[in-house]
Amino acid sequence: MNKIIVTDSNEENRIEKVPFLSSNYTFQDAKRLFLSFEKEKVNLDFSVPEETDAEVILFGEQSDLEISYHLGKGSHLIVRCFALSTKGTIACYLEGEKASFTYHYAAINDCDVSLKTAVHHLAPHSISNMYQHVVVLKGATTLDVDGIVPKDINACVCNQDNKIINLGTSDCTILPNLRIDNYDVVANHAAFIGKFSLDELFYLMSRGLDQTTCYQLLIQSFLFGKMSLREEEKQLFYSSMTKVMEV
Amino acid sequence: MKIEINNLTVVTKDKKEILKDFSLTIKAGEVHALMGPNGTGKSTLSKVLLGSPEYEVVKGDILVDGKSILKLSTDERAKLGFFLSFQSPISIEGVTNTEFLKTAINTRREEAIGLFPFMQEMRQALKDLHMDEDMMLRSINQDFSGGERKKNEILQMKLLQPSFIILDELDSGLDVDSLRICCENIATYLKEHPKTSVLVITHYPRILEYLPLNYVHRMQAGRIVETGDFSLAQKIEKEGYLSENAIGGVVSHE
Ligand SMILES: Nc1ncnc2c1ncn2[C@@H]1O[C@H](COP(=O)(O)OP(=O)(O)OP(=O)(O)O)[C@@H](O)[C@H]1O
Ligand SMILES: [Mg+2]
Repeated sequence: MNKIIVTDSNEENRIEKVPFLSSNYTFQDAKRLFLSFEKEKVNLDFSVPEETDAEVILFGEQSDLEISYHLGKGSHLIVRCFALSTKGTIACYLEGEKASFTYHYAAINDCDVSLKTAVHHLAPHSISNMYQHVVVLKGATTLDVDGIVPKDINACVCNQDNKIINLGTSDCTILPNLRIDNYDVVANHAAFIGKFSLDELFYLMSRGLDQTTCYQLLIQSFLFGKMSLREEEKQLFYSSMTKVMEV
Repeated sequence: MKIEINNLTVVTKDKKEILKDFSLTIKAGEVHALMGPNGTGKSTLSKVLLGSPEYEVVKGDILVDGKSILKLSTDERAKLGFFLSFQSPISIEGVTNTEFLKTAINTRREEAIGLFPFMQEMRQALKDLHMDEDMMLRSINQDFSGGERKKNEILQMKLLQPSFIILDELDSGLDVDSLRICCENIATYLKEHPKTSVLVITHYPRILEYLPLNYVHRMQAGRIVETGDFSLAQKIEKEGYLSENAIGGVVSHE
């Protein structure tokens, strides 16, 4: 791991030398974790105890992430991830009643990448909102997304928004699998694979922005528009984005 | 800025002809109005002037101060001084108005504008247009009402300082007061920049009352068929395009 920043509830940053985070991490006094990986294979397991709010910010570059999140009763976890050509298997287990999971995954890929994400609603009134927005420059990206609500788990919200902007020539795939066996569930699913709209491009260009700048703005808004990033996260994510786009 | 549109024929990607031998000259400092029934090609003309990739110019030319601009890309035309206030401005999620405008202003400056002078200019423009400051922190036109989007176009116009302004149905969506406020801002801008030329696309004479109008053109099936002054706009308002008198006018523009 390159770097980890732990922030407690007083918003004071402590930089910790790891590897205390080798496999399992339980949020206690820490409120927010910032982790960044480069060319690494990572296996992590986060637990958010009952009635706890937590945030995970992840930055991965050419890595392989295997991450699971376990959420206790009444807990709330927000994950903001920006990944460059990083594959992975992500699983979220909503184990306690009213647990809520907000997941923002943004990625830019310039090689074949497959990503598997699954959210398991294991308790009633649990909520998941997942946004996965990927810009593909090269190669084929596959998003395999599962939403699972068993028969005896009621009153859940399970929303997914999966989008790929394919600027390359290979075929990309989104495989949304909804296994919702309970009737009392709010589930919205959007899946989209395409290009940027020519209307948006034309509008921006008509104000004098050249094509590269327009793409940068559009990609930035597509990837991070819904994320509500903090200033320092913005700086890191935007500068990494600009760097890959220059190549 | 002098704009000459000479015998322009324009087709869509599937080769549908929309503009047919369209000609119009707007001299520096002139305000021209273009009226015509739905679907005659007015918005198409506005987008073709800005070099939209949706259309192909198969014949004719567009000259700016005597030089063809057909080879210029959309952003190059904007930097040359073209500004289109869109009939239906789109919204773009995640890009804030402020960020976008600052970038747009900087494309036409040698040295980037400082944050302070930029904010000052923007605040003044917002005030002039009776717009809320917090709108600028929101994404481009996101959750803006139809009228607010139109005002936002004029705000951009004020800050980008064009020399050729195309207003595509600015008056649709604006309430009576907002239309007056927008037009007063445009009129002031024209006084301060007297060489600016304007093309006003509209269905109603009202907007023309607020602007220093020179000519009104009636367009039919992809070309101008009649040219007059404000009274032509009034005649169209009164009689419509379908009446006996309105059809088959003489092509009398220069
Ligand atoms: N990209 C396109 N592909 C196919 N047809 C098009 C395209 N753009 C415009 N058209 C057609 O060309 C015609 C002219 O459209 P345009 O939008 O220019 O009309 P307009 O004069 O602005 O009408 P309105 O007064 O309703 O705004 C219409 O029939 C429209 O459907
Ligand atoms: Mg139109």
